[in-house]
Amino acid sequence: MNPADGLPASPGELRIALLALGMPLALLLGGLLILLAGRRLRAQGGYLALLMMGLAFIASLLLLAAVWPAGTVRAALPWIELPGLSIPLRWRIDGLAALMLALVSGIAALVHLYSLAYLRNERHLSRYWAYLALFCAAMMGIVLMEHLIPVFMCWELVGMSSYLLIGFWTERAQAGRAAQAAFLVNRIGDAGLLAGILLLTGMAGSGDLGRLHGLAGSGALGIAPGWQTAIALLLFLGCMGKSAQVPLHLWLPGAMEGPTPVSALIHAATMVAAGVYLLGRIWFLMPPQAEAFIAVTGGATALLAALSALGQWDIKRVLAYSTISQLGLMMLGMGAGARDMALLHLVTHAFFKCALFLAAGVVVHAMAHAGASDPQDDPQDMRQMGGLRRRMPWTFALYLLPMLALSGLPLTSGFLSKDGILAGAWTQALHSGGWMWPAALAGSAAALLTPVYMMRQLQLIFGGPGRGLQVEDAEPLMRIPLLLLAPGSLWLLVAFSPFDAAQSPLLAGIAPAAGGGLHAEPAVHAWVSAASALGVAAGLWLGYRARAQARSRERRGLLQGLYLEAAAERAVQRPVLELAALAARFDRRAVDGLVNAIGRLAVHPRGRGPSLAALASWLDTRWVDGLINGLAALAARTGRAARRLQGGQVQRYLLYMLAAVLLAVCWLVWKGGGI
Amino acid sequence: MTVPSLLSLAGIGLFCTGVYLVLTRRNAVMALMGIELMLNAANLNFIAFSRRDLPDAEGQIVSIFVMALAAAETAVALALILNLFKRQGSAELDTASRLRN
Repeated sequence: MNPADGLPASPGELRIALLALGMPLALLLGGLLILLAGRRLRAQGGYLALLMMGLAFIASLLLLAAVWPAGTVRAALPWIELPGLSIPLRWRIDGLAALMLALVSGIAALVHLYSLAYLRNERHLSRYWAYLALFCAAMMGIVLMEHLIPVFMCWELVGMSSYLLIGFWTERAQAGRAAQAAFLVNRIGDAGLLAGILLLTGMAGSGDLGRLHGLAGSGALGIAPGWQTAIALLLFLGCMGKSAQVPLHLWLPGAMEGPTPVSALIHAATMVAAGVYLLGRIWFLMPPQAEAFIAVTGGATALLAALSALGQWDIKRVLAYSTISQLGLMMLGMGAGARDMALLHLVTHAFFKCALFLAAGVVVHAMAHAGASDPQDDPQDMRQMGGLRRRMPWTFALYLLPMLALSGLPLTSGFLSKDGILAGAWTQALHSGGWMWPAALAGSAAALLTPVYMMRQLQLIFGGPGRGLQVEDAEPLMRIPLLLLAPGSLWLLVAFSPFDAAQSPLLAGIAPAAGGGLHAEPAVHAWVSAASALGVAAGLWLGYRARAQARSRERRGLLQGLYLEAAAERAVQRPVLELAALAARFDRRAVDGLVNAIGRLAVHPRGRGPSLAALASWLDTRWVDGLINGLAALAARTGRAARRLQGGQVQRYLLYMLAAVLLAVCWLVWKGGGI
Repeated sequence: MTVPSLLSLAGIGLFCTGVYLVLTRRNAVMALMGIELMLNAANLNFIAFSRRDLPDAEGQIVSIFVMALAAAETAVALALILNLFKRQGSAELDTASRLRN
C-alpha cells in the first residue's frame, strides 16, 4: 500500500490512468455542450449523449480488461496545496472500480437509448441529457477518487443531480416536493459523512483511503477506539442516506416522481449503489460494534421495506420498496463481513432492477397512451391494469425474468448473490452471535417476502382476465435495452455453477478491493440455499394466490409504508421546512427591515425629504452638471467668436492684418525705442 | 521743411489713402489701385531718404526695382480680376468668398 504521488511512470499505466480520469471529465464537458447548444441540437442532443455514454462504456471495458482481476493503477495530481493541508487529486483503478465504471456507463448507455423513445415528446430535453451526464460523471468520480474529500464532492454532485432529475418535470408540484424530500434526507446523511471525513482526516492525519488502509493494516491509525466507532457510524450515516436505509429511506419511493429511465438509473447504478460501494471501500475503518450496527440497520431496512412493498398499488413504488429491501440485504452482507457477496449483489441487482424499471416504464407508457382520454386515471396504478400478458407478450417475458431473479429463484443471478449474503449473515451469527441473530433473521424474512410482493405485482399487471385495455407493446427502441439487460438475470452472469457464487469469476476482481470476504460454512450455505429455494417457491405461490383478494382489500398500514412516511415527514421534513419558514420570517423581518432602513436612508420613498439620493442629485445637477455645461458653453462661445473672425471676406482679413502690424510696430517702438 | 521730409509726408498721405481704398472699395479694380498707391507711397519714401543720404543711390535703385515689380504685379492682378469677372459676372470682392467653405 504505497499510494503514488504523481502520474505513473510506465506508459501503459499512464494511459489507463488518463483514460479513467478523462471519462467523467469528457462527460461533464459533453453535458455542458448539450446544455449550451441545446436549442440548436434539438433531438440530436440525445444521440450525442448516447454516443458519449457508449464511448464511456467502451472505455471502461478497456479499463476492465487492463486491470482485471487484481491489477491496480494509481495516479495523483496536485490539487489543493495549502500550508499544513495538502489534498491531492488521487484516483485508482482496480478490479472493483473498473467493474463499477463499466456497470455505470453500460446501464447509463442503455437508459439513454431507452430515454430516446420514452421521452421523445418532452420539452427541455437538453437539460435532461446534461443532468444525466453530470449524474454519471459524479458517480464515476465517487468510484475513482481515492481521497475522501474529492469523494465527498462527487457525492454531493450525485445528490444535486438526482435532485435535478427527480424534479425534472418542473410543472408537477408532486415532483418538486419529492425532489425536495430526496435532497433534504440526503443532506442529513451527507452531514454525517462530512463530519466523519473531517474527524477522520483530523485524527489520522490523512483522508486518503490508500494511506489509511496502510495505517489501519499496521495498526497505526492512532485513533481511540471510541472515536473510531463514532467516525465509522458517521461515515455509515452518509451511506445510509444515499443507499436509502431506515430511517433515511423515504426519499426513494418519492423519487418515483422523476421520469422512469431516471428511476432505473438511480436504482441500478448511479445513486443508491454509492453507499454500498463506499462502504466496500472504507470497510477497514469499521470496528465490530459499527459492523453490528450496519448489519442490524440493513436487516431492519430489508424487512420493513419488504413489508411496505406488500401493500403498494403504484407499480413503481413496489419496485422502489424492493430496491430498499435489496439494499438492506447488501448492508446486512457488509455488516456481516460478506462484503464481496454484498458487492456482487450490487452488480446482479443493477441488471435485473434496471430491467424491471424499464419494463415498468413500458407498461406505464402504454397505460398513459391507453388512458389518454381520461386524465383522472393514474397510469401507474396497478388496479387499472390486469391481463396485459396477451397484449404485451414481449414486455411480459422481459418482466418475468428479472422479477424471478429479484425473487431469488434458483438458476438466476439474484439467487446466487442473495444466498451468498444470507449464508454469510448466518455464519457470522453462529460465530459472534449477539445482534447478528436478529439481523440475519430479518434479512431472511425479507428475502422470503420478496417473491410474495413481486408475484403479486406480476399478477396485478399481467395476470387475470384482460380488461379491454387498448395498449401497445414496447416499440423496438425501448425493447432493445430490455433485451440486453434481461439475460443478465440468469445465473451465467455470475458463475457457471448455478448453486454457488463462491467460484464466481466476478469475485476475483471484487474481493481484493473489499478485503476478501467471509467464507460461509458449507453446511450453513447448503441449509440457506435449500431453505430459500423452497421459501421462494412458496412465496411465489402465495403471491399468486394473493391476487384474488389483492384487488379488493386495502392494507392501509402497508400502503403507507408502515406509517413511516408520515412519521418521517413529521420528524424530519416538517421541522426542516419550519426552520426554513422561520428563516424566511427572520429574513422578512430583520434582514428586509435592515435593507429597507438602508434603502430609506438612501432614497426617500416619495422623493421628498433628506436622503443620500437627494444630496447626490443636488450635487449632480448643481455642481457636476454645472461644471460640464459651463465648459461646453465656453467652448461653444469661443467657437462662435472664432467663426466670426473668418467671414471669408478678404478686406476684413486685411483689416486684421493691418491692426496686427500696427500693434507690432507700437510694441517694437515702445519696447526698444527704434525699429 | 526740407524736401525729404515733405516727400515723406506726401508718402504717408498716399499710403493712408491706399489703405483706405483697399479696405473700403468693393470693386477689385479700385482695391488694386489702392495697392498701387501704397507701393508708390513706399517709393516716395525711398526717394526721400535717398535724397537725404546723398551720394548713396540705393533708395533710387530700390524705387526703380519697385516700379518694375508693380508693373508685373498689376499685370497679374488684372488677369486675376478679369477671370473673377468672367466667373461671377462682377468684380465685387465681397462675393468672392468661394474658398471659405
